[in-house]
Amino acid sequence: MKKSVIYTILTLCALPCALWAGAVLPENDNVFKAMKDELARSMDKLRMDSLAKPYFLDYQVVEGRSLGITAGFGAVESEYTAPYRRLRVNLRVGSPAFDNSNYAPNMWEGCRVEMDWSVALEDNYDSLRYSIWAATDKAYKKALETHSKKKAYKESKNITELFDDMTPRPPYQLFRDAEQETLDSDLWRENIRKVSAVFLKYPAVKYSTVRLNFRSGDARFLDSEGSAFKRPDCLGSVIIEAKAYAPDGFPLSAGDEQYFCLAKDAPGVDKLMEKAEEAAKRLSGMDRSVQIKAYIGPVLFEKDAAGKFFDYFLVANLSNPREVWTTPNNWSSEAVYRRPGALVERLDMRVLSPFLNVTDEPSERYFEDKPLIGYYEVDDEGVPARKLNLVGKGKLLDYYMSRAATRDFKKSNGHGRADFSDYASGSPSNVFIRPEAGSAKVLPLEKLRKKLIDVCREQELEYCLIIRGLDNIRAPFAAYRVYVKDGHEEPVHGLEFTGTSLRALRDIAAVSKEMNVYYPHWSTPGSIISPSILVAEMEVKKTDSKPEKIPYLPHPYFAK
Amino acid sequence: MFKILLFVAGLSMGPAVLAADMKTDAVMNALTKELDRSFTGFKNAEKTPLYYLSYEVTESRTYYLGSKMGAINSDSGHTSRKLDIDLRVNTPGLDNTHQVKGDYSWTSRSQTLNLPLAVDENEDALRARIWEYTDKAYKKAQENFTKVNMNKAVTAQEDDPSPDFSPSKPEVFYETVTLPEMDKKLWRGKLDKFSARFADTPFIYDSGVSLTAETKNRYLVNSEGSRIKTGNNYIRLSFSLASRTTDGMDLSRGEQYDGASYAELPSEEKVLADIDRSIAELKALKDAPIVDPYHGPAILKARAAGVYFHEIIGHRLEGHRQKIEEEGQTFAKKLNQKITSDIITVYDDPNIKYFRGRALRGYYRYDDEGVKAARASLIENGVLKGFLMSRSPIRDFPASNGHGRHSTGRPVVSRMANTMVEASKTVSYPELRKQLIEECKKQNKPFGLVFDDIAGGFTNTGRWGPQSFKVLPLLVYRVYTDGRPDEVVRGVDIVGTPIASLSKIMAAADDPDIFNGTCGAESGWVPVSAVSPSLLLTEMEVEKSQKSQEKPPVLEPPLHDK
Repeated sequence: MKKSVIYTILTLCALPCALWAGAVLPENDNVFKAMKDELARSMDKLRMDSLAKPYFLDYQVVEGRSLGITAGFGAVESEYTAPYRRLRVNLRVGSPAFDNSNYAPNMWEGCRVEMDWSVALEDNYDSLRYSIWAATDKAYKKALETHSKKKAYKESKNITELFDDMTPRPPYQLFRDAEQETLDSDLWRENIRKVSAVFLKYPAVKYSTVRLNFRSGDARFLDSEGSAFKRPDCLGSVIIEAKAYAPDGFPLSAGDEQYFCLAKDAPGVDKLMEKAEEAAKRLSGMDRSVQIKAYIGPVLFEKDAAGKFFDYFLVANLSNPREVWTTPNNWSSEAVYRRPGALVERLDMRVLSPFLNVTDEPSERYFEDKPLIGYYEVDDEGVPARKLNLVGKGKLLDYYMSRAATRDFKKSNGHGRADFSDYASGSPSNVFIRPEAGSAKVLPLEKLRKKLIDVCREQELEYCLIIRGLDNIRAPFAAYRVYVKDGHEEPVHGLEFTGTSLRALRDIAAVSKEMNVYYPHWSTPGSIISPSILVAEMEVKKTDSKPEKIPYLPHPYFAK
Repeated sequence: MFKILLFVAGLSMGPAVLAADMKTDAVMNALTKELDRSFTGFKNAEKTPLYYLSYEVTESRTYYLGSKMGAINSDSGHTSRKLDIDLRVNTPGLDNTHQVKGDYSWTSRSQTLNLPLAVDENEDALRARIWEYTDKAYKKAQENFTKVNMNKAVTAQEDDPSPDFSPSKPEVFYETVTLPEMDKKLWRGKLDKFSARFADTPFIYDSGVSLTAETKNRYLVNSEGSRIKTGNNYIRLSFSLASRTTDGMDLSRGEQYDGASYAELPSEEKVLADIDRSIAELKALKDAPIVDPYHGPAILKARAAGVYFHEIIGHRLEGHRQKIEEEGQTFAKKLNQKITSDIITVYDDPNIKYFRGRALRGYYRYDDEGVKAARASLIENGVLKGFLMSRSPIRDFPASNGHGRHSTGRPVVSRMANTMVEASKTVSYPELRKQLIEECKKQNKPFGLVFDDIAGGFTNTGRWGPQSFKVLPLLVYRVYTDGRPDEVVRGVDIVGTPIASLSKIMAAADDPDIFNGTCGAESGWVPVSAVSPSLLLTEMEVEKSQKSQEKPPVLEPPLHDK
């Protein structure tokens, strides 16, 4: 049982919140002390000539130790381990209604907070405070310039709708005793070697790589409104990648991705070897794969492919609801740096098949013993995490909010998350896609496959498609065609979706009873827990990408 | 010292021991086996035959320690092995690396990416990756040669019809360079002590101390029969401190100490004294007046003179630049002509490991094309005598002199190593200073400039811009003719054109010193050294340097805001 202290100050900070409310911080913590003292000094004295003072400031210090091991064909190819401690400064000038955020001075520079990637690893108060001071000064000057450019941009346009950049919220404090974990590097070096050696048995697999990455530590946060936290910060992954060629030279890939946060949840070597075997067998089984010309009909997205489907069509379009402006220049005519998710404008409308519900649950750590990496208790703006009912019976009810307001919502829902270099924006954590209880459209996966064949038969198709792995909806993919006459499967490759739209979400005809955990590649860790899905109709075409020449010489190991 | 003794011991055991080591070396075995298999297998796999194949594996063990304001802020280590492939099809006279006119010269090379290999001694795994990368390099080479062939047919004849590749004698050599484990506790303590020294000074806005230790062993095998393993240790202790003036000019001072072993690094007392001196220099710079654009007599102190030679002539004497169509070819047709003062002799010799007891970073035994390092005579008594040569021949220079270099992932070109500037006639430095004042008086100039330290510089050798160079001074003094004390000034860069500038060298001092640095060009970053005495030039041009528009920090550093 970890010790924790939670303080919630219920009174709203009176605008403009310029005075630091004074969070009660853990004693004898030099990092917090340096953050607190420099924050107080900056809010009190930081002012250049007659220009504006900061109205808000937050610091985040993330620290820990990282380990990375990469292996191929039974041998380690790279290994690193290093401690790290980084500082992130989010400083705002102007007012909560209109400040320096949500604006990128240009496409190249982007919309980033100030950072120092290597501050003192030791708890040396003077050194830490010096680094915080230097980064704050840079952040302040940058904020003043960005704010004036953003103002000029606004004044040059006829912008009628303006939403607050920083909505109020009660100060919140949470302090967890975060334990820095390490993985046994000798053991894992051997594990990763062993997993990568699985491919020694499969001549069809031409290239393969297995990568372990693990970091574990904590994040400290403090802002000028009195919010503060110390929370665990960890992420681990084992990625298996294998590549082969179809008979026509088209590159094929297969693999597996396992994610975790706590060392105890790291996948066992046996499981990893099993996953490597699966990938190798899948590629080996594609030695008779062919390319088909075109297909219009039902598609079954199994397991991770379904996760990727929901990631691309649903979750990405409920995130980052605030538009980020930029000023066009000689190199780019873009006036928008980041567009809001496409579903944000469809609140209260039907966006998904009516038998499906979607929630986001940051407090969940596991699903059927599988780790969920979107777990957190407090977001990157110091707002407590909240479960969201995003879609109910197919209708959009909510979307991800940070402290930046939108037309629909004027407060954060605890989903203000950010990659270390970015401003926080509305982001997902653990997304659950669940069917309505008792829905007739939920079938065991085997029956869902049968249903796919039934639908094909109704449509007088010779075969239909099952997708089991998908790198990217927009990229060429491989699949299996399952024949109506006898249900046998044949591998196909070199396909691309065409004419896809958000309509696909409403075309989900049935789902599997079994749920799968998929780990999307977001800028912040998260998971999608979804069933496999049968989409009533999708259009597929032959990709324009060209096959490669297969290797001239045989693989040296298999040529022996 | 430990490493040298070990190496001597290895040699004394005779070639049998070395051959035995080589035979059990998994990397060497994987490279050799895959080279033999690929060379045979690819030779006539397509209509255009493979005529040359070489592999270079760079094995690097790096450890980095950094400290800021009395506390360690970086502590990391990394081991890697990277493969470079030089694969050539058709004939040495015209191959796939030949420049496609209209494209940049390096786009024709067969491989320009980092290709990681196993760091384990696992021959099967090493061979699997070598096979994977060679296949890609071969396909790229065939594709490039098709372009080269057509381009050659439809474009004008080149001025220099030299072949694309020169033969080289097969070399066999085997050594493994090692470095004793760093005493991390000791060095963490030292670095913290050094970096804490900056905390007392309010005008230092950024500072840091670091120690980098890299052991680099390189394997080179080629289809001509070369089988080489050789290496270097690079240890660098450095500190830097920076400030900014109210007019937005960034100022910095710093020092770097290089060695091939920890014992070669300076004592704690010496580093602390240098830090104190640098702090005083930074203060002087902060209070210094800005100098207006000027041309007149100037002294380049020894280390600054080394950088000056590196920038203004070194890059222009890199052999490949004499035939690449987009290059300025400033000195291509000046062979045996006088280009500078007849007291000046310049050569580049990678074989020099130490100069007056101090390590030179440009030292190596074999270059990145497996050619034995050799002294390249560049200027003799003011007369241009030669170029730095890789295996890309040029008119009158058909062979390499062991200067083909690169960093992993980049194609090899000819580069500098240890650029040695010597003067046949020298005076003491005080005498040189006296000569500066006399020359100023002769030219009716109230003062001359002394360039004490230089950060580095850059030069344009291409035809797309003026044939000019720029050298970035860090510490400049005004020396007055009327006897006033020397005055630190700031805000100027040295500019010029090479032919005009070289002709202005008038005298040299007897104080040669080393500039150890890392040089960047199209073949990547390579460690280099330049050794030169202080030089007096009758005329040097300086122009206003670029400055940031930022103001100094709004608040005082926390320790000084009482």
